[in-house]
Amino acid sequence: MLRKLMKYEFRATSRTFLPLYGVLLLVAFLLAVFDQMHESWGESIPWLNTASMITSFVYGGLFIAIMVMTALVTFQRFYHNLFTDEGYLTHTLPVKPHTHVTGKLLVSIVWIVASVAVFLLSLLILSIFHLQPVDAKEFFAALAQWIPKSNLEGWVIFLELLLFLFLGLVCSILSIYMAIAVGNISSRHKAALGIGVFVGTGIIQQVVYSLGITLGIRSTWDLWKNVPDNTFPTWPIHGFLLGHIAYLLLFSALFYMVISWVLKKKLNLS
Amino acid sequence: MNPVFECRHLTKAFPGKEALHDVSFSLEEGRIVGLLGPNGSGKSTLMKLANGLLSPTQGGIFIDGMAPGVETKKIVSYLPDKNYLNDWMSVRQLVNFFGDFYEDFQKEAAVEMIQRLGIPMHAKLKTLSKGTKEKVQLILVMSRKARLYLLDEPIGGVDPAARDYILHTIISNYSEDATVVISTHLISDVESILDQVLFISEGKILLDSPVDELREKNNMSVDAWFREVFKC
Repeated sequence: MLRKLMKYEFRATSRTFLPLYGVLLLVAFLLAVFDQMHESWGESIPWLNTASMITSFVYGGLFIAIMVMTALVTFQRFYHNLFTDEGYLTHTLPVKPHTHVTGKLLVSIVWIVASVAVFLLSLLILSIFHLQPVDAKEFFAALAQWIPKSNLEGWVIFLELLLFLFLGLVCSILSIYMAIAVGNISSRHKAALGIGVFVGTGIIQQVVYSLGITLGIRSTWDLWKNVPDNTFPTWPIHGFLLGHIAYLLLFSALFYMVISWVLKKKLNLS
Repeated sequence: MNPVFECRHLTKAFPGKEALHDVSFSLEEGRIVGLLGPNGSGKSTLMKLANGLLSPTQGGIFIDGMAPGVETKKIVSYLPDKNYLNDWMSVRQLVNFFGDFYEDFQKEAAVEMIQRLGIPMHAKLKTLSKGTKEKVQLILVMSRKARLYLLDEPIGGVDPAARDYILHTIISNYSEDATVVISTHLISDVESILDQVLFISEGKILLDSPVDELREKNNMSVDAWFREVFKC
């Protein structure tokens, strides 16, 4: 059922994102063309400067539009699909409530990553006429330096970092989903309750985070004192990443359970 | 064997209003039941509770002995009293959507009914008229081989010819061992197909009776008795 939900979720959201991505890449190409024309023919084309300027504004506007749409679609889809008239269809499907949450979360993450990837691609397109084959070689060589080579610990840190970034995204999205879900328990004060939950959760998270950092430093203080000079142990990096992963996992699981509970026990679609 | 649809002391309260109060009844399989009451009597609230769209304040509601959940959604086919399908989807996409999620959905039957009405399969739902949208919704709901059909005001807001079509679709697609609950305040249109009636007013069940018994006892049609009971 998750696969089917995600299929229709992608279908519903791609109508918004794919045209925006297409136009952004097209405008990036257009800007690259204008830039090349400017280099080749300089001031002999009177409208070129104006056209370049307008296209640059459009490119900037599109970039902002994609960022805004990504956030809007992520949270608006969750709200409209589960708590408004669309919920009549969503909640009568023979699907467990938490599956709806998982489906929307995963699709949102895909679109966030896709938006970043499309933006990076547009930057590449902007410089397409200036790139040489040797540039590609240098780029991939530089990229390869970031990837750990035949060093197991390096790979472990790399994977921990990826997991940290992924969970950071998951936790942020789920915290807003939870605020929306809990807010909808109230018939009359949805927005106020939702905002209150979001702010309250943020405060609790900060307190737990501060306690965690303090505990982490205190418990490793003696280890720090015994580190020889001019050595760079990797255990602090592991500790930092794993500690954050544990923190993000804890709160993500908590938010997920609260959202699922609201959808199962406290849904009031009226 | 469990009743297909049962309420036990069911109460649903909203801030400032009690939509349902201590409702108890049970419906057996193979009946067409009219849930009849004036506007605001609690008909839609009862149907939403049966589908898990609302949570009871007190008491219980059971479909084939189970509280509303994933297993009951597999056997209940619900038509709400509003346009609830994604109107950016085409009719064909909606048919495929129902086919994807409901194992009991009869895709060929749905397509045949839609084509017989001359509705293009590629048309987006938002391009169709209100009446046509309602027909598409009804066809999709009645194309499931469900054990319980909950139809909330299926004939409200459409012309008399469309009402006849809707009632005909309900009768011809309903299987003998299934139960159909039709909520409406347009009683004269549905009376001829009903086996049993539940009168509901201000969240309370006033009457639960087989139709024949009601007509014999009061010597009048269900519509006439309804007007008598609910006269202002």
